[in-house]
Amino acid sequence: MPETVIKIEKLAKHFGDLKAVNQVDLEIPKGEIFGLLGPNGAGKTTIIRMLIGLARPTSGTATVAGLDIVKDSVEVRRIVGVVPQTNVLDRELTVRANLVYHAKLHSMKKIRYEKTIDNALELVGMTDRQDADPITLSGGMKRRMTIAKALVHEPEVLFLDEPTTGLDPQSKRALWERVSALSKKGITMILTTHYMEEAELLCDRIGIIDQGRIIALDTPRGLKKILKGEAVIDATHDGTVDFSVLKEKDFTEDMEVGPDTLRLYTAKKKEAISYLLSNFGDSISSVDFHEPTLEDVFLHLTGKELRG
Amino acid sequence: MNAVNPALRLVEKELYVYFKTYYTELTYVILFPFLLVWTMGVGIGRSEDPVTIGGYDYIEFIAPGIILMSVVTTAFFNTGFIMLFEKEYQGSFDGVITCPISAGEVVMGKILAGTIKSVINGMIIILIILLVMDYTPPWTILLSPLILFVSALFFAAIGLMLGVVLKRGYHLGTIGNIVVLPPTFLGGIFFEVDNLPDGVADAIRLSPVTMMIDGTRKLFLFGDANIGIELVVIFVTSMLLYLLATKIFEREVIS
Repeated sequence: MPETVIKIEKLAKHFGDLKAVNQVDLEIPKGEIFGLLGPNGAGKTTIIRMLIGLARPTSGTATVAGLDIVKDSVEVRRIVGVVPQTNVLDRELTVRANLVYHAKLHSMKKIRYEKTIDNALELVGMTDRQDADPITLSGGMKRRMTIAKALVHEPEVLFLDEPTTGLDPQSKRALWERVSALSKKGITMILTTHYMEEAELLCDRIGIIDQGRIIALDTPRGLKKILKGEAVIDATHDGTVDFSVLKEKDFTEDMEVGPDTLRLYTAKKKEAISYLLSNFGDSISSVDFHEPTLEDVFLHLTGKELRG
Repeated sequence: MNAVNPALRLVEKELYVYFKTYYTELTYVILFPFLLVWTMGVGIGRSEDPVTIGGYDYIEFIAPGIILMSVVTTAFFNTGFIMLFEKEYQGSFDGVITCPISAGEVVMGKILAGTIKSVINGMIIILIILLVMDYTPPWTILLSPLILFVSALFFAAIGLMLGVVLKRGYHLGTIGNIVVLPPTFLGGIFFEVDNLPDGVADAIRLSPVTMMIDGTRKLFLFGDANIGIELVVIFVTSMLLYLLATKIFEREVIS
């Protein structure tokens, strides 16, 4: 049984009447990449801010590597690395000087930080840009530099708060490769994102969070099993038909009907599509199908779009 | 064993940036003394009936207070603007607070950095003023870094508080004028506080800012090294402001 690095018990954070984080329980073992997937405002960042001691819980407790997040917050920050949503670069310092400054704030000795900075720069592929002025870097490079900064003190736990937001697809993929490389080094990571493909690709387990609560928690594969069937069929219609007959069909695992949409979860997509077209063809304007995704799971669980 | 407190690392970094971009500071510290000597010395000094206060030329009387005002203004705005800029615009502030550094250390580092920079500026201004003014100061001028330091500490703490609380740079400018100008003007930079009505003069004498001006004038003009009370009062008040700034920082940043 792997050692538990992060343990959260009934953690809550309220801002007035708003329950930003609502009674969250979670245990994350050493070396896991744990994804917090949810729309903007779901409570992902608030959970991270509480775990690093920058927001006080309204109730509940949590520990990081056995350290209490409230009483030992400074010590917690000594063993964690944080990649916040915004790039944390000092534009007056070169790339390397930014990392040296960070190392000094972590009370590292020069003999150690010179080596760890070299390693961090190499990992993010920025060794050749270490003397650059940060304002000359592209968005992707700034993000990589922020990641390098979070790695300089060799953290046991890394918090990545929406690390790829705003990046172009190429930079995004490059960054995913770097995060995968880090996981091979045994660093425990919590990654927040509202990109399902990112969560699916990188995370060992995913917690789907909505309105401050974790509403589902499993491996990416396990989460998709919430949706019965091998395919999701989406159809648009003119709103004049009654689809209730579909509930009785053996190809229907589950279904959701909107004013002009139909979503059908099925294990027999050919049969289902054929039935739809032959019986409702005049009213249906389009039919599409795909394998279940985490976004489908989220939509199914909350009735909301993930990127809302 | 950690040899260097993280607060001093903040100071080290700010001083590095300060010296890296020193040409902007240098423009100010050179222009300011010349502006002072010319406007006051030439403008007022050449009138047919020159103004004197307590037997001193007017420019000699006001110069210590104006130098002090320059130092505390720099301490206030430098500390406040850097805090506000890093927090609201540059984003580098998040990089600091996610490190193992306490609220008290961040606040102390920022206040100390602003204080040291403004005192360095102040010392250069004093040197230039002495070079361009026909004035031989008493030996007590050598103690001036002490009074300038505690005075800058006081205003840097207020600047930091506002930098933490405010969201927009121009608000700091407006509020800064309210914070810095009235107490320094009322504290007797341009006139003797004794000339004010008794009740008002007594109240103003209790102000730490008045003590800053009096203390500076003692060292620059009167050759009086007896500034112990001024130093203690200003330092203790500055420490109270530091504690308040730490509380405000915790409330605003660690919500």
